[in-house]
Amino acid sequence: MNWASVFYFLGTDVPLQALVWVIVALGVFVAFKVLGVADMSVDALFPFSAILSLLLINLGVPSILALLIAVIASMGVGFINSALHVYLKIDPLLAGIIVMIALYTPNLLMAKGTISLASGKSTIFIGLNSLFHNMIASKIFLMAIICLAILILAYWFFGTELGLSLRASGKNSSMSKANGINTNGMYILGLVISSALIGLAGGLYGQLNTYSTNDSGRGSIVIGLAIIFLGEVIFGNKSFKFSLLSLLVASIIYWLILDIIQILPDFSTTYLNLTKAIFITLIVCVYELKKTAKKKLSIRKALIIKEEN
Amino acid sequence: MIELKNIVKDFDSANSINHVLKGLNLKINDKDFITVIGSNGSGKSTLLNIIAGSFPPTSGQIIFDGEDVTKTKEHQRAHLIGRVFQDPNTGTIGDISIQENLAIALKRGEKRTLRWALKKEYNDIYVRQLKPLNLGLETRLGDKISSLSGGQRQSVTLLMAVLKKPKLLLLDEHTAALDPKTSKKIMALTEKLIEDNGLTAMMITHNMKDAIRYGNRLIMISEGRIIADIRKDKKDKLTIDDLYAQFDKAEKTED
Amino acid sequence: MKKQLTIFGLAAMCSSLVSLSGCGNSLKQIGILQVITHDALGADRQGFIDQLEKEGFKDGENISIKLQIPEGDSPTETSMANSLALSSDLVFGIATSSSLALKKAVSDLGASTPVLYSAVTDPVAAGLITSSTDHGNVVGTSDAGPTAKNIDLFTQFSSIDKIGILYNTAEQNSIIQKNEAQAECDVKGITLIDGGVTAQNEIASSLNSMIAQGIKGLFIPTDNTVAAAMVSIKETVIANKIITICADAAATKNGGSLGYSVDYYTLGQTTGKMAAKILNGTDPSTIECSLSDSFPLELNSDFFTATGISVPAAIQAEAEAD
Repeated sequence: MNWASVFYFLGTDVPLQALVWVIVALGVFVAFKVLGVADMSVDALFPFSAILSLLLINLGVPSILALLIAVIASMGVGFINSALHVYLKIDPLLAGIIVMIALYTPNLLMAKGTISLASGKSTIFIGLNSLFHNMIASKIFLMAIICLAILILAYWFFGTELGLSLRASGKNSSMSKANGINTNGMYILGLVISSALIGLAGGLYGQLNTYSTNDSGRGSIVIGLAIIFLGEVIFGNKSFKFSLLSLLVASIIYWLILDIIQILPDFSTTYLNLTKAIFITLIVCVYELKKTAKKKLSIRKALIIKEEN
Repeated sequence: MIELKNIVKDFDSANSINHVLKGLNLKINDKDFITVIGSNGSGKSTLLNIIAGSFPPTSGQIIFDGEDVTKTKEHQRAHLIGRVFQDPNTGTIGDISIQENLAIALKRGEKRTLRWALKKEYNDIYVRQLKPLNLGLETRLGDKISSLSGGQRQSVTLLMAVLKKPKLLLLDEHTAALDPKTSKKIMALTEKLIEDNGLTAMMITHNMKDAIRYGNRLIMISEGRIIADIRKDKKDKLTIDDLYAQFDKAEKTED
Repeated sequence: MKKQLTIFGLAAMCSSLVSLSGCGNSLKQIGILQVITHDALGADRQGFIDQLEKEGFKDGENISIKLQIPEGDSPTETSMANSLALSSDLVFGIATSSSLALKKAVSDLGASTPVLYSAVTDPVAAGLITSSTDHGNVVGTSDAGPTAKNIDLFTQFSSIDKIGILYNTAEQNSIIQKNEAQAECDVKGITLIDGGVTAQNEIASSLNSMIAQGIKGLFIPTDNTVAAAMVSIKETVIANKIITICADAAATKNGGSLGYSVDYYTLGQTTGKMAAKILNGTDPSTIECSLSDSFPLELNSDFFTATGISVPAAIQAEAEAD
């Protein structure tokens, strides 16, 4: 491995991974942070969409349409997930787990272990490559455009009346109801949006790799949460707009560190998992420490204000 | 005019049924400012929650200007009601800015669309409402609510409750969690807002003095029933001892 | 403060990359991507490396081998494939997903780096190759097991009319073998009970359920999940005297009765032979992809001693010969 290879690898692998996983992080963000729901279905929903996207292409569906259908199917899954809680009163955590288990069968039926892009078929990236004639550049370019579009869309949406009421619903349902917000409706909308994002990421992932296994989503939630926490640790929690931006930067930093660890000689085979675990634990610990410090600070602030009054 | 007809509320517990409200009747006239007192467990908070729609009554009706809203959900009748909770943290969202909180209240009862929530024009409305408070909040629209004190938060919650004129303002011991000085300020603000906006209001309070001093009508609730409904002239002449006497009388009648 | 710490951390990481630049460029770089740590896959890899050495390619002398194991984590597998594809003159994928990852990584670079694969049961179905003669720069060995021979083994023991099969429903290789087993059982008139699981912790209950349904034999294909749990399966099958035929020699040793296995070490050697040819200048597209042709019979005498079941003489003889 020489320097040229190192930089080329980091320069291509980091953006590709970071751009896919920032969409996952955004989906996890909407569920975990905005709605306040621990949605466990992510790990199964991600490969569901990847596999579906590839299956549809293999069946002759144009790649963009295949991606779209995979996203809509994911939204359907999100709806079922939320309906389990809203209509059947099932605990949100349990509902997500039920969906995760339920998705196992369709994933298996569709992929039969591993699904590959059939020869002669094309993905949205292969399609673009006919213009650029450089596969990696095509992938990074298209992913960058999609990511940017999604982030801008997210920023816009959560600044609208509807988006604000979704955020309110997740943070304080009593106050939201008192202000005329249909919190059940918001819950459903939130999970559908979250699932759409996970589905988009999964569908893109499947087309990026041209293959997917049942298992390719394992660990998605952890990566998503790690990116969210890393973003908050590094950039704080100043505003919503900032949080979105920090997701992108955190995703890049996360993959940069992971990829660097991975190419260090001897590290990758023996210590990779341990190092990853330590890395993620560190992120979460610092995040929690910051939260406690912030709490103490705001209590002190409140006491000072009280004294002044 | 708001009418409560024969409100009964039973709560099922493990071995028994708890009859909290036992056929309560009340007619609230426009511009009434009713103070509500009663011992713990008498059903005051339950009554407020039922009016707001947090949960339905076991039987009975709630009618707003001829419209029966008994079967509607809380968020569906929110356009009629402004609410201030006892806990300053319940009425606002600490993580987001004053401006964003007010934006949520501004659209109470309206359909939430994809229009931008923080339009510049709305800021004028917020500033106009915040300025008279003399808390300097109008210059801090972008600050997070969590940076405010409890009293400031309740002020904001009050404003949010009347930002869109409600048919009924519900105040559930909204000064109970505040220190006496701040409490006084909030009560003064409450009175002013009700007067300036010509609001109909119902205020639960533990403070007998406040119950006598504020409002034009005083209701005493005991064991799920209204045992006294005292109007303005008689109300002004009341003393705290009078109220205690009423409670004793009611208890003796129950036994 | 936090920002400074982060930059510091990154800088420290980067400085240790300096050691990488010291790698020699005159050595041929061989990148190996093995999906998960596992006896069979490890044997495959060792066979590959040993064969290369036999043919004059020694790690550190004229080749440099870099091994990466993503332990089943998909995004890590993708990154590792990308980095190996970038820095290697020849890459070798062990198991289906790793091979696919390498193939894609090489293709994305627009390169024609030879991609070797092994331990893939059906490379055509997996999308690795179009056929054993039409495959471009991708070539390797399949571990399609001797399922027919193994099912036939059951008939050597008295009155086994019902057998169960334990496998991970998510492993494509296992599904292929299960279908083969089903076909063989249909021909031989044996009832096959499907004991598919999705995770290791389901194995015990699946096995018990099949025993309750009256199985007299158990077939375990080459399956990574079940192979890892053989030690716990061992006691149950001995206690219930269930002839357990494993397609993986290591599994037989760890708790099975007997079985024709794919010898992964030999498989690795065959792949190593292909790699040596390519390193010596042969065009990979001219090399034919191969199946394993060596199926030694592994016998676990402990099982037969513990259960008191006698081993047919012919089988005993064959096992000793291997």
